[in-house]
Formats: sequence, C-alpha cells, structure tokens
Amino acid sequence: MTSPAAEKPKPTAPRITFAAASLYLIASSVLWIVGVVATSVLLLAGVVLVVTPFGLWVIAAAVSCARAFGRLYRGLVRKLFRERLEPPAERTESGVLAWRRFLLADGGGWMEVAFLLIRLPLALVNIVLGVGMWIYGMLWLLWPLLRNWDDLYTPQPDGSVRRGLHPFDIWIDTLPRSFLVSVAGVALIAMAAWTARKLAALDMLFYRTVVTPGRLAARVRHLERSRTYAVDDSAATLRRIERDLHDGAQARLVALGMQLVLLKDSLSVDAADAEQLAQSRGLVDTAQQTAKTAITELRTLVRGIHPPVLDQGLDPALRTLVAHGVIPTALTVEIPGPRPAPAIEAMAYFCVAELLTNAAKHASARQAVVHVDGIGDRLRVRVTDDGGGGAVPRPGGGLAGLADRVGTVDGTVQIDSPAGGPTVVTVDLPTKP
Amino acid sequence: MRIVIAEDTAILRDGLVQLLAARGQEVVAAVGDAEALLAAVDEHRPRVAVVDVRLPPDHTDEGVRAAVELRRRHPDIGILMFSQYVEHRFATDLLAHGSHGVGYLLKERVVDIDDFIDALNRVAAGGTALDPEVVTELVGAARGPDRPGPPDPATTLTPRETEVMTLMAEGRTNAAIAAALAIGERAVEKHIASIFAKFDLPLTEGDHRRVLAVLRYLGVGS
Repeated sequence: MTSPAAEKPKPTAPRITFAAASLYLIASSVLWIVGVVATSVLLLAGVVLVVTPFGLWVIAAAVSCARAFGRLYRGLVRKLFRERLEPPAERTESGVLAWRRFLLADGGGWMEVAFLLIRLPLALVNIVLGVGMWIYGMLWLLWPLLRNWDDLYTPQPDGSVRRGLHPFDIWIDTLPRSFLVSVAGVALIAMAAWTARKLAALDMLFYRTVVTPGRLAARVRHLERSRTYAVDDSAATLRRIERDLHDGAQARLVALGMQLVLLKDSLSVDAADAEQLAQSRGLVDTAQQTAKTAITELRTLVRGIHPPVLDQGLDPALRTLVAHGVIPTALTVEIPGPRPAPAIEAMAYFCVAELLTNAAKHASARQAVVHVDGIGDRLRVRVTDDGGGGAVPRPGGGLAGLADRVGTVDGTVQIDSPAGGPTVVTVDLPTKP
Repeated sequence: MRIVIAEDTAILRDGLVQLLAARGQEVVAAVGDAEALLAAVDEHRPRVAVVDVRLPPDHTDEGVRAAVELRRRHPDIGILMFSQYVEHRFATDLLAHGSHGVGYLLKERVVDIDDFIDALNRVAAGGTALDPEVVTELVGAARGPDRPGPPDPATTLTPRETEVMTLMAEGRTNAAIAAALAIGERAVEKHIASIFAKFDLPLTEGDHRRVLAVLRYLGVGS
C-alpha cells in the first residue's frame, strides 16, 4: 500500500484494444444518454423550483446524479482499459445538510455535471462515428449476402428499374462486384477500430482535463486530509496521556497520600507496641510499593511520549527499543548524512516500535530484522518479520493509522505481506518534515 | 456515619475505605460504577455518598449524572463529588439542583483526612463543601468579561468580604472563617451582613440566605 502522496497519474498512453474500445463506445454512449437526461431534468427542475424550499435539494440531487454517472464511467474505464481515472474530491462531513452543502459547493461534482453537458459534441461524434462506422462496416462486409434482401431499386432513364448499389456511378449488381463492398467494409471496420481507440482516448483525456483535480488540487486534498489526521491524532494522543495520568500515576500519588495518613495514625499511638510497629512497617512497605509503581508508570508514559534516549540519535534509541523488545531483532542503522530532523527520528522510532509490536502480537513472528538507511534526503526504515504474513491496512486499523501518520510528512508506507509471510514493511520518510 | 463510595480506581477505593474505617466511619458499600451506586444507595440509605466524577463506561461525567439521579431519588442524602480535576461544568450541573447537601472536592484533599471528614459531616447535615479550587474556577467562569446582565454585586465586595465569601462558599462556619482569617467572629458576622446587603438578600429563616449568597457568588443560582 502506498500513501496518497505517492499516487501520481500515470502519463503513459492506455492500452486500448479494438474490442474494448468498441464496447466502450457503445456502453459509454448509453451511459451518457441516461446520465445527461437524468441530470439535465433534475437540474432544470431544481432551477425552476429554486423559489421553493425544494429547489436546492433537487439541484443537489442533480449533482449527486452526475457524480453517480462519474463513478459508473470511471468503473467502465477501469473494467475495459484497466485505466484509473482520479475521482473528484469526496465528501468528508456526514449528515443530510452536510450532504447538500457539500454537493452545492462541490467543485468536483459540478465538474462532473460540466463533463456530462460539454461532452455533447464528443458524444455525438462517438455515436455517429464509432457506432455508425462499425455498423456500416459490418453491413458492407456482409453485402454479398445481404444484397439478396435489399430493396435498392433505381428507375432508369429508359423507364426500366435497376437493382443494386451504385456509388460513384459504378453499378454493383453482380456477386463478384459485391465483394468490392466487402473489401470496403473491411477497410471501414479497420478505420472504425482506429477511430474507436482515438475516441476512447480522447474521451478519457477530456474527463481528466475537466473532472480530475489537477496536481495542485490533489496536493491540497492530500494536505487537507493529512492535516485533519494530524490534528485528530494529536488530540487523541493528549487524551490518552491525560487518561493514563489520571488512572495511573495521579491516582497512585493520591493513594500514597492516604497510606501516609494511615501510617501517621499508626505512629501516633504507642510506638513501643511490637504489633503496632509491625503494622507501621507494613504500611511503609505498601506506601513504598505505591511510590515505585507510580514512578514506573510515569517512566513508561514518558517513554511513550518521547523516549529521552532519542535525543542521542536514532541508533541508540532503536538499540534500546530492540533490546527491550518481545522478539529477538537484528538491527542495522546506516545514516551517513546529517541527522534527520527530530520529528522524523521520532516518527521512524515509533514506526519501528509499532511494527515490531504488530509482528509479535498479530503475526506471531519469532524474529525480526530492522534496517534503517539514510539515502540522500530520504530515510528508509524496513522492518522484516518471519511471522504469518497477510497484513493488510484496514480503515481505522493500526497499519492505516501508521500510513496516515507517515503521510503527514509526505512519507510513504509499503506493505509486502503475502499469506504465510514473511512481512516486509518499508517506511520511506523525508529527512526534514 | 454511614457512607457509600463510588470510585472506579481500585487503589483509591480501597484506600478510602480503609482510611474512613480507621477514622470510625461506617462505609456500608464501595462500588465501581454508577448503576451499582444507585443500587447501593437504594439498599443502604447512607447519610452521604462519595461519588467519583468519572465512572465507567466512558469516564466522562457518569458520576455527575448518577449524582443528579441520586438527588432526585433521595433528596435527603448528602452527595460529595470526588474528582482529580475541577471540572467546573460538572460542578455547575450539580449546583443547578441546589447547593443543599452537596460537595465537590479534589481527591487529593483526603490527605487532610480530618478536613475531609469534616466536609462529609457538613454535606450529610445539608451544608456545602466546595473545594477552594472549585470556588475559584466557578467564580472565574461566572465573572467572565462578556457576562451579560446587570452589574454584578460581587464586583462591589471588598477584598476582605471576598475572602469571607470564598470561605463561606467552601462551606465553612463563622467560627472556622474567623479562625482561617485570624479575625474575630464578630468581624466575620459584620462582613457577612454586608455581603447579604450587597447581594440584596432578604431576611429569612436559618441558613437559607447563606446558601443563596453562595449560589449568587458562584453565578449558579438566579
């Protein structure tokens, strides 16, 4: 899997076969007619109804209809040509009012509407040339057979009637001559094949030009998405830290206070009493244990926020991490250039921590290899484990979260995890955020 | 005194039970969630319930909601909210149902166990016990610069009267206020009379004026 930053439209010309192109011309024409009629009707109705409360809803429905057409169209292109057309921006808010607001102000949706409407001349050419040439090509090819059922009777100056085709004043009224038409039919079908391919390519180019967001728009979208993620993620992290402190160290310190009160009480009575003394000792032990646990919890928490050893560099930090790990892990770190930015080092560190945890927990790996490479201005982190494999990023899952987090600095995550293993996850980060 | 405790962190719940028992209090039930709290109070009818603000499942304000329900079912049982932070919205939610027999203390106050038990007694007797931090927060929130309405009488209090008012909000008696400020009880009475006048509170029976003054000061009551 690759994070969105790496998805760039492939500039190579699509491989278009004649059969696929012909099918495309017919299917896309039918699809277009349905789409343009439905959208135009809704749009017109919406404009008429705009004085009523329903107008905007109907217009939103028109945009939604155009979007549905776009989805089907992209699906068609994907099925026939294995070509991916970048969709317009998706809605992020939920709720009915958000739906309407989004559709009405939805640049991508309106571009789909525009595509449907402006495509009119192209669609006509598609139907006439693409479909027409094909039909005529077939008719001509089969002329030697079909001529028996034709009704091409032309009155002659002498009053008689002559049957047959007569293009360019050449009479085609015998069987041998009718094969000339077949030859023309073959030529026409060959031309149709060429035309169909060109038309399909032109159509897709047109879709990309009108609907697909440009590089800048795609970049903005990626940044918006990753910023939303970064904000949500940091809020969630702070909430988790607060919860950990609240339930952990803070509660223990309050408990420690209570234990000290009990201890003080026990000391204020006759201290010479041996039984009393033993009780006091017990209370001291408990208090000591509580203090120790609180300290350990604070240390674990701090390590989760920012491991202090990370200040000394990624190598010693990862060494400490690997040494405390659950599974035996071989580590190599080769960063010949200057040190990556602290934020990048921290990200690389937490990626390794999370991937090793995954390997031990989900893949039941027995050992792992961590390799960190600095290549130019990129930092590549590769974690390989011998576990069960079959790791796939699911929405809301750990790997998807990892990719999202890495995406906030324009890094990418590649997961190669066939069923049965091994799993190789490669995280590619810039050395500066 | 019969007490029910609702606190989900085991170490604090056990510590509190032990501590209160050592001070001769009778903890009749110690539970970990809101439902168990309501059941325990229904069954044992304690004089006061100590309720953690955050309880399972979501650890947000389950305790406060349980306390409001408790107040509805048993108006005579004192409720002491117990929290690691001042969450002033929750304090306001609770006080909106009247300050009678209500307290809100930070958990760390149990370390001064005598004051804590004193607060429990006040709440059980129908008084209030608000943490100084809670008072500060509530007053701060109520005295926001954009607060609408007529000029606030609290802004006309003298510094000394504000000190007296704050201690009164915590639920202290006149004697305790006098001791805390190192002034005579007569002086305290004088300040309180002046506060009542500034808040325009009519002469009524018992402690009612005191409670009204506190609520007005905290910006909770009408």
